[in-house]
Amino acid sequence: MSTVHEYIIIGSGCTGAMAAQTLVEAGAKVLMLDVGIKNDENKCTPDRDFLKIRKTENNQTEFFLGKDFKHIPIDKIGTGAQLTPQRKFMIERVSELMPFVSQNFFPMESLAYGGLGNGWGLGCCVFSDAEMDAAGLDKNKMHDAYQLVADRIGISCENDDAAKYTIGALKNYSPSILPDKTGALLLRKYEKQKKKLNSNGFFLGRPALALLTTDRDDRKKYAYRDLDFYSDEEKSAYRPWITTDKLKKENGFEYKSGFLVKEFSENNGLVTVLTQNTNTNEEKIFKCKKLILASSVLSTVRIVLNSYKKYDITLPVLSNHYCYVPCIQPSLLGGVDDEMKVGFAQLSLFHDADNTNSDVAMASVYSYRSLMMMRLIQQLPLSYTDAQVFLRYMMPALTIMGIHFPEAASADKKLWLTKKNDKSELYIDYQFSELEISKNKIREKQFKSAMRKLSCYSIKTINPGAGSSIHYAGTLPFSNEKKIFSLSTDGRLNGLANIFVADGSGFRYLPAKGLTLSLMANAHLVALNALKNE
Amino acid sequence: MSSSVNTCEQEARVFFNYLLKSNSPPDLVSLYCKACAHYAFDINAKDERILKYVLKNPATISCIDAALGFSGKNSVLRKKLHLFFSIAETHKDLSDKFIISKKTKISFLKMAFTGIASLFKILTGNIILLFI
Repeated sequence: MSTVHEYIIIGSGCTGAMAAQTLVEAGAKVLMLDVGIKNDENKCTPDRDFLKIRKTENNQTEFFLGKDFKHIPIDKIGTGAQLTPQRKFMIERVSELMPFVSQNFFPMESLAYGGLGNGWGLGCCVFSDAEMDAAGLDKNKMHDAYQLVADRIGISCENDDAAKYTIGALKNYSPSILPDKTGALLLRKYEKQKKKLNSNGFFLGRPALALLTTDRDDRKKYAYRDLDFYSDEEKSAYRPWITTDKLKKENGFEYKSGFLVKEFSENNGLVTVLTQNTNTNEEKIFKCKKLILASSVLSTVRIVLNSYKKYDITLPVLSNHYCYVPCIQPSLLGGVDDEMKVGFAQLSLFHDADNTNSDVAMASVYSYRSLMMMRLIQQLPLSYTDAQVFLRYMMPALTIMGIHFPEAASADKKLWLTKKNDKSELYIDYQFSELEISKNKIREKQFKSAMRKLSCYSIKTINPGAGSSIHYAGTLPFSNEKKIFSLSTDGRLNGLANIFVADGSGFRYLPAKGLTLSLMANAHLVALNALKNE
Repeated sequence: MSSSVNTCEQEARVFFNYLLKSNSPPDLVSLYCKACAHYAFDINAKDERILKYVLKNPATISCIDAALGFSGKNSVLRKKLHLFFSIAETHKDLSDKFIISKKTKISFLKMAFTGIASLFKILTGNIILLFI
């Protein structure tokens, strides 16, 4: 007779890891099922910073371009194109194992150990009460959950103008990392223009990041090596595998990789989980009392629709509209490359037009360097030699503003699953209304205008397309009506007693603020609810 | 030595002279040839003619590259140049070509001149492409 596990969690990303920690700390026995692809690229982390590696390391070609040169960004730029060789494993085998079709939606999914959390930009934001109401989250419980998650992962931040949008009322955070030249200059200009910008609804400050600025257990404080897109060896940045690696040492936790969950069924209080071994393609069944789906929104909806054998039924989907705007700070043109650049966001700029902390748009401001010239040069309509002259002069002054816009559901943002030759494919059709397009355009212009006030001038706006924000939600929206394909407020899949969803599938609205902290806080609450229902 | 290796080496030398205008580190040509072996470029007849032409007439590559950069980004020549550029950028002996370590006052003038020259190159390149 096969083992009946107490809890099975699907997925090892931020939500899976957080739910698992909550269950294991409560004494529950947990099996985590995961495809769990790991990085086989050059992990060598030379104990030097980015500039020193560039100037002295003999074998940097493999480090920056990947084994067999396979990660040279040679083709069309799309979602995932900016991933470095050390992060490419995040998206390996996705198109093969999770087929997807769309003309207007370009998502990133992951089957990696740690999921999309491996490439998380570490931005942490607490949703306001109004945003939590709109998303369908229980704000009273979420406040405590935010603090617990923040304590678990470690957050660094400043109590500045952005703090009410980032950390809110959170305590116990460590000081922010130091800004580089790009960030410091913008902050100085902001102090002079603050009154005007604030009256237009703009608030600038340091981002809250899941990044340590003081040593903590085996995690080291941030070392300013500008290798943030290449390495997590020192664990100063929080990644979900840090939690899962720790849990593996606990008696109540078991991790199995190489299993893609296809579907589940629930009978007489027992959950059966059908998986495919991703190495042998053989099917294997696991049984449990309670199942927690935490495999990320698009993956979860596949599993749910496959389990119900519902093909061609449409469900809603949400993804923040996102664009990025390369800007130039003229006073930094032709400058010397800074010894102390940081790959993570330098600043967070919030637009809260009516100062109510609802319907807020958020821009993250980055310096550009460690992704190197090769990722930019193709974009310029110039010869390589001329583009090189321009970029060499411009790169120290290049500032990238990535803007996220809040997103509400509509009938034109939908997905469905189809079955062909025994294989299921996920289809997404994602269209913005005229009103949304014009509202977002106006806001985009307002952000550019705010940056101009800080003497930072936009060069162009790049719209990578819907889905490129890598924030997904709303496929199984929270509902009190007990409808099929919705979640009850405790995270349970309506209509079933023992299936819970711990990722963002239930969020009915997607605030523009960084989503991951809220996902983790919700996952913790779902795990608590799963415990309660024993 | 096979003809494809010969072509690769020839391409590497032409690209090096064009992009970096200095002495090539000895391993750069072999790195480029190794990289080419890993990429299966989908070369159509026009691409093949362009590649042959620039190898025969290396002085025209800057104009052809400029024209393709403006309106033919998916051409194989641009992809091969990108491959070479990426390898050169990650070579320690060439780091000073990509990293600014000294602020120069003439940079702005150089940029303005480059911009004007670019326009001429795009025009000339497009004319050359008409005859290839």
